Amino acid sequence: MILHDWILSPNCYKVRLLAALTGQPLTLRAVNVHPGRDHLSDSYLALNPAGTLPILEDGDLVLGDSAAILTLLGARAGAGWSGQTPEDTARIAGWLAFAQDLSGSAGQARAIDMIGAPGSLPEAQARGRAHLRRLEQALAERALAGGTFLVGETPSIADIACFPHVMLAPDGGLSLAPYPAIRLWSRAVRALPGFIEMPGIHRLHELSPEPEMETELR
Amino acid sequence: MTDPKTDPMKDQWLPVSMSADLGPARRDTVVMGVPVTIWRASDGTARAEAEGRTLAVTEDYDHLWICLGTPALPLFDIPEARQPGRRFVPCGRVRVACSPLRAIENFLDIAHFPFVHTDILGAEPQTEVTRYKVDLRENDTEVWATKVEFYQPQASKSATGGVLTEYSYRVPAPTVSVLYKTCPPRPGERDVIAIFVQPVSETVCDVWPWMALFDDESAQADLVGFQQMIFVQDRSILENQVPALLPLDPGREIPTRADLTSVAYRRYLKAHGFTYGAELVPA
Amino acid sequence: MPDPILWHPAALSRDLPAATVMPTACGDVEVALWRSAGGRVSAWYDRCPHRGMRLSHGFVRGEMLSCIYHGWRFDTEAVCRKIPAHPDLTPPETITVPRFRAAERHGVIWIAPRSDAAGQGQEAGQGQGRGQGRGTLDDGDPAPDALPPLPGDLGPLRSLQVARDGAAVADALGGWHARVAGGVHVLVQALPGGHAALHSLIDPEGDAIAASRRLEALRRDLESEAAA
Repeated sequence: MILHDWILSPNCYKVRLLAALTGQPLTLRAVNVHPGRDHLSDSYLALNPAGTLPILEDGDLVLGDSAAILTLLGARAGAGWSGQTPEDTARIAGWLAFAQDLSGSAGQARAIDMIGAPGSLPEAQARGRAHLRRLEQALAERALAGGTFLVGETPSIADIACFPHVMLAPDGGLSLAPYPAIRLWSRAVRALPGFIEMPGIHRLHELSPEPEMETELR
Repeated sequence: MTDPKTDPMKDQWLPVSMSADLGPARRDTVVMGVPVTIWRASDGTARAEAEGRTLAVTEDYDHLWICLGTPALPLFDIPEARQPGRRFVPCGRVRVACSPLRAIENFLDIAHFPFVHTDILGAEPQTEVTRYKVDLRENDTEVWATKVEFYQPQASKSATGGVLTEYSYRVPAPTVSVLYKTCPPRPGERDVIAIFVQPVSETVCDVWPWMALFDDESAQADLVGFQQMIFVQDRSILENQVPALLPLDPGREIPTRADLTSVAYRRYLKAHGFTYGAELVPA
Repeated sequence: MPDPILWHPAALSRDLPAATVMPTACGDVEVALWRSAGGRVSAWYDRCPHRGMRLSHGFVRGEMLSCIYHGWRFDTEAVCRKIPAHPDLTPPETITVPRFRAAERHGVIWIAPRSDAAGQGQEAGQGQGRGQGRGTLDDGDPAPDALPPLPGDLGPLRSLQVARDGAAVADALGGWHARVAGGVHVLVQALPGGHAALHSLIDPEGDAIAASRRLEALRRDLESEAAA
C-alpha cells in the first residue's frame, strides 16, 4: 500500500497512526504540499481530483479521502476497529462525519494560523470550540458509563479519526485546557501499543523508564 | 514594549517571502507591526513599499529581504551557499506565536533534542551536552558556537543510524541563525541549515527554514518534510514559554553550561540594543 | 493581619490520575497541577525556571515532574533534582518552582496560595472575593470551615468551562457552591480571562448522564445571559 503523505497533515497522520496501531505496513511517498503545492500538480489531480491528501493506492484501488482509507484499514484490521455490531458501526460512521467537521473547524484554524491558509481565524476557532465541547460532552458521558473510547470497549477508527485534529487544536490557538475528558481519552490513545507521534504531538515520556534505572537493569 | 521606529532591528535585513512565491500581484505582509506590500516588477526586480515609502530590498538564499529603515550592513554572507554542488531547499513559512528572539534562541539549543525531537535528533539516556566553545566574530557582530557535539539517532533525512554529530552555530543577524552539521554523504563538508525569522510583531513571527545541502539522492519533498517535522515539533514549545518576550535580565531564567550559546546571544542582543521581542524590565 | 487563605476548587480528583499533569489556575495565576505515581498532588506555578516553559506540558515519572523542554526534574517539594544536559551534576537546591497549597477533599482537588518562602511571597493567586472558603491549619491543610459543607457520599460528575466571569457565575448560581436540580453540587472556580469552571459532584442516587446534560443546559443559560 502506498500512502501519498504530508508530515504536517492531520488527515495523513490518521492513516499513518491506524496503520501503525494495526500493523499494516505503508510505503510513504512524501508530497511537497507546503510550500511546493505539488498536490495540485497535474499528476496528483489525475490521481485525486479533489486535490487533497492523503491518497492511498493499493493495487487498482485508489482512495483520496481519509475516512474512506480508515474504513478500509479498519475493516482489514478486524478486532473491533470498525465496530462489532451494526449499532456500533453506525455510531462510528457518525464520528467519521464529525471528524470531517473538525477538519473544517479546528483543522482550518490550524492551517490559517500556522501556514497562512485562507479563511477567518476567529470564525474557524469559534466552530472548533463548539466541536470540542461536543466531543468533551460525549467523552465525559462515556466515562460516566465506564467507557474509555468513543464507541465500544476498545479503540476504533472513530477515535483515530478524531484524535489528530483534537490534539493539534492548540496549533490553531484552541486551548485544550477546558476539556478533562478529552485529556483522559487522548492519554488512552497515546498509550496504545504501537502509537506513533506527529509534529505537535509529543511523546508520552512518562511511559519510558528513567535513564539511570535503565542502566541499572542492564 | 519596544518602539519599532527606534529599535536597530529596523535597520536589519528581514525576510518576507520566498523568491519563488513573488509575482506581479501585490501581496501584503507585516514586519515589526508595519504593513508592507511586496511584488515583482515587470523587469523582474523585487519591490517593497510601506507607509508610502519604497523600501530597500535584496534577494538571496531563495528569499526576499527588506529593510524598514537604512541597511546597517549588507545582507550577511553564507560562503558555503556559493559552493558548486549544493542543493537549496526553501521550506516555506511557519507562523509561531512567540518572540522572534525566542525562535532564534530555540534554534541554538541542543539540550532539548531528546525531549522534543525524540528518537530523531536526540534520545534518552544520551542527554549530556559536553563543553563547547562560544565566541563573537566579525567585530562582535556575530555569535558563534563551535565544537557542539551531540548523539543523534537520525541526524538527517539521509542518515541511517545513530551518530555523534558535530554542529557549529552562527548568528549573523538578530533574527537569523545558521547551523553547520556533519554531512553523512560527504565527510569533508558540512550541511547548512538556517532559519530566517520575520518579526511580525514582538510576539508573533514567521519562520522561513532554508537548507543548502550536498544530497543528490533525496526527493525534495522528503527534505522539506524532514525540516518541517523538526521545526513544527518546536512550535508548541515556543508558543508555551512564559513570558512570550525573551528576558534579557539574567536573573529571570536559569542558564547552565549547556546554555552558553543562549547566554552569548542574549548578551549580543543587549550590547547592540536589539530589544524588539525582548523583555526589558523584569516583571 | 494577613488575609486568610482562599481555597479554590481546581479539578475533580478523578480527572487527575496518578502520574499525570494538567493546567489550571489560582486566581489570575496559571498553575500546573500534578499527581505523582504514588498519588501525591502538587500545584506549582506553571513555569519552568530554566526557560519559562509551561510545566503543565511536562511529564511525570515516579515522584518527579519533568519539564517537556529540557527534561529538568523536580521532586514533590518543587526542588530541581536532575538536569539531563548535565547528568553528573547535582543541581543546587536553590532551583525551585514557586508552589501553592494543594489538598483533596470530597473527590475535589483544592488549591490555595501560600505566603511563605515556598510560594516566594507571591500572593497574586489570592484574587479577590474568589474561591470557596478561607483558612488553613498549621500543617497547611484547609481549616474545617474553609471548604463548603458537602455530603460525604457525593461522586464525581464533570468539570466544564464557562465563557463567563467567575464572580458573575457564582452570582447567577447563588454562591460559589450551589445545589442544582438532580442532586448535583456545583463548585465554581474563577479562571483568568473572564472564564469559570464548574466542578460538579452528584449524589449516589442521581442519574449522571441526565445531570451532565442539565449542566450543558446550565452553561448555555449562563453564557446566553452574559451575551444578552
